[in-house]
Amino acid sequence: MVLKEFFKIIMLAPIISNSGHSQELTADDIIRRFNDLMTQPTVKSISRMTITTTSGNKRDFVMESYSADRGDKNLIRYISPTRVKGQTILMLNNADDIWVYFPRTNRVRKLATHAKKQKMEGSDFSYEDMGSGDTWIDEFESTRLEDEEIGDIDCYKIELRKMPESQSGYSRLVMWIDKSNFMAVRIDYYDEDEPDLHLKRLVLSEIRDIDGIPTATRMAMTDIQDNTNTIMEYSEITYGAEIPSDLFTERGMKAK
Amino acid sequence: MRSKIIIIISIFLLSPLSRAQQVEFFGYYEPQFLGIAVNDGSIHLFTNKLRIDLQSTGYENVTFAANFDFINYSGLKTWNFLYFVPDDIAASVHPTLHNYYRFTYNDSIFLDNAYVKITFPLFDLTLGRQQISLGTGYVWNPTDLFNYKSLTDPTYEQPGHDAFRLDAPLSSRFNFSLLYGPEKDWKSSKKLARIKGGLGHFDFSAIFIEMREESTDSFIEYWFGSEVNNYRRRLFGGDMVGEVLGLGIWGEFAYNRLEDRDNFNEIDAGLDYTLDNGLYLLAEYYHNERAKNDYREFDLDDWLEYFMAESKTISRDNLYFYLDYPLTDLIHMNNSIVGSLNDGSFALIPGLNYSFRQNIDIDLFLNLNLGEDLKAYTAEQGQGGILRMRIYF
Repeated sequence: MVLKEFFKIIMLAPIISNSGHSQELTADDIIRRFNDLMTQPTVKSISRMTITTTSGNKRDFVMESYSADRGDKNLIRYISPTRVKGQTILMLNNADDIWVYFPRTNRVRKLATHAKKQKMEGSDFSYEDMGSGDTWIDEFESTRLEDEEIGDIDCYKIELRKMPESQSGYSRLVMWIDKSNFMAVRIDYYDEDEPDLHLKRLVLSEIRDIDGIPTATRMAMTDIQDNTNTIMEYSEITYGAEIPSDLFTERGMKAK
Repeated sequence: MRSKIIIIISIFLLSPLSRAQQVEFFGYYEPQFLGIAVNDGSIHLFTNKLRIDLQSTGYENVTFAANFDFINYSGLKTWNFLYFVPDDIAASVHPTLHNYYRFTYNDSIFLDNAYVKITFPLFDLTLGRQQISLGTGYVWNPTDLFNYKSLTDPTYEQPGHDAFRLDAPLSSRFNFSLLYGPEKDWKSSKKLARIKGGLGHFDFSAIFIEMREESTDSFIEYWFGSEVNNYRRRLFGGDMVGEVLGLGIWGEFAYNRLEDRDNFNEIDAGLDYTLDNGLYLLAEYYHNERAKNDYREFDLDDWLEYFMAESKTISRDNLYFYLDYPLTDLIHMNNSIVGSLNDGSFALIPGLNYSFRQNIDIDLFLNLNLGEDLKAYTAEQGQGGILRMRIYF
């Protein structure tokens, strides 16, 4: 019996292994592994978003974020600057439903799907970028391209193409995923109507091990067309935190 | 009154309690210049507004929040409603009565909001002066009897109202609200009940409001006092917001039952969309049966009710278009057109918003009434503009 188990492990080892046997992994396998990293059951974080405008001006935002149901539910609350303090964004169903709470007017506004593509608070991240959940798996078809190195990181290169029924604001994405930990290090985003038009590039860096999960604590999104840049830096990230389900409701948006 | 408020703030700022209970202070300073060209002359009014917000979340499940507004004015502080009504109607007022239509912008310090919110497992209780925002419309909200939105800046914050409010979630997307706004007795007090829900990409609500209100009647008020015009209003209404084919849509309906007066309906419907280049487009229609559809029947009271915000429009059927386009990542250009479908008159409201610094915004609006004489958006109301800076701290 013990011998049988031993052989089973030996047989499975090449498939389980992260490195050196990449040919066995399909694009779907790789994307799922990356998606699993990005969509933890619950995540609580505090981050600083710095926008560099075309004129070189900088705008700083600090926000707390809560995510549950593997990224299906997201709530982002601005802590600073004062101009937007308390403003809260609730995204449900992979950002198909978005509400924004404005504390100065005590008003909750529901945004239609077209808002998914819009810049969040003028940044280079859209609402879709911030709350897409399992969209990469459910709404895109993946194809594996030839492996490439980014710097000294050996990467899988995957192309995702939008399925016809998807409401994503991108026609396709190209991802470079680190073979050693399945964390993406670069993602290129292409225009919804012109699949060759390169819109944005996300570079993920300062990857740290938090509770055994490789986590990019710095994300830089560059808008190639507008030549603007937004950097998101995480100061606190907690996985598996208990987040009450009523946080992801209108009551939760107004809670502070 | 002013010294009392300053003492209260000082005590709060200096109190060890405020430090112990994690009180946060923030707010803004807002200088504003308003200019209007009317009746072959001009009006200038400069406003300084300082708003100080404080919020304490030191106690578990209890939030205390308040804000004080300090406002002072310079320039022409005393206006007359008759400046803004069509000349033919103003001429019908006997010169000896002109002073009756004057009003003055007085320097003021006031407690705009001050409330405590207590969160229980099954409901939230909010007691005190608080903002009450109702309805899904962008410019007009038939179901909101508490506030009036400015056509030049519909998103400007609204004043607080004294109320006891209970909000109870029934499920993740359904909740129930009750509100009581105390006045001198039960009969005069404001009562509100609202149930709000969500299904798919849609949110909707049903609402009931009962309150007493006053309407302007220049003759009766002058001779008998305003109590004569105080009557009960009951509103039965609802609203919805959602999307169809990617377009954002919303609607509101209100049936208003008035004591000793004609009942009337209000309907609001709108849609919006953002193009890939960032151009945001919005259109809204508002039907107000309280208003007349023939501009030749507008009288002084109609104009006064409109200026006093007792009626949201002077014309029965109204259309509003709005567009916003990011000229750069810091400068947005916008333009509104509001018009009467009944008489074809309209006003243009172009604007610019400049994010000058992280916490400094500069806004410029113009309000250009282009309608013919006597019509809803007649040029006789004057042409104006607002230059406003807001510095948050």
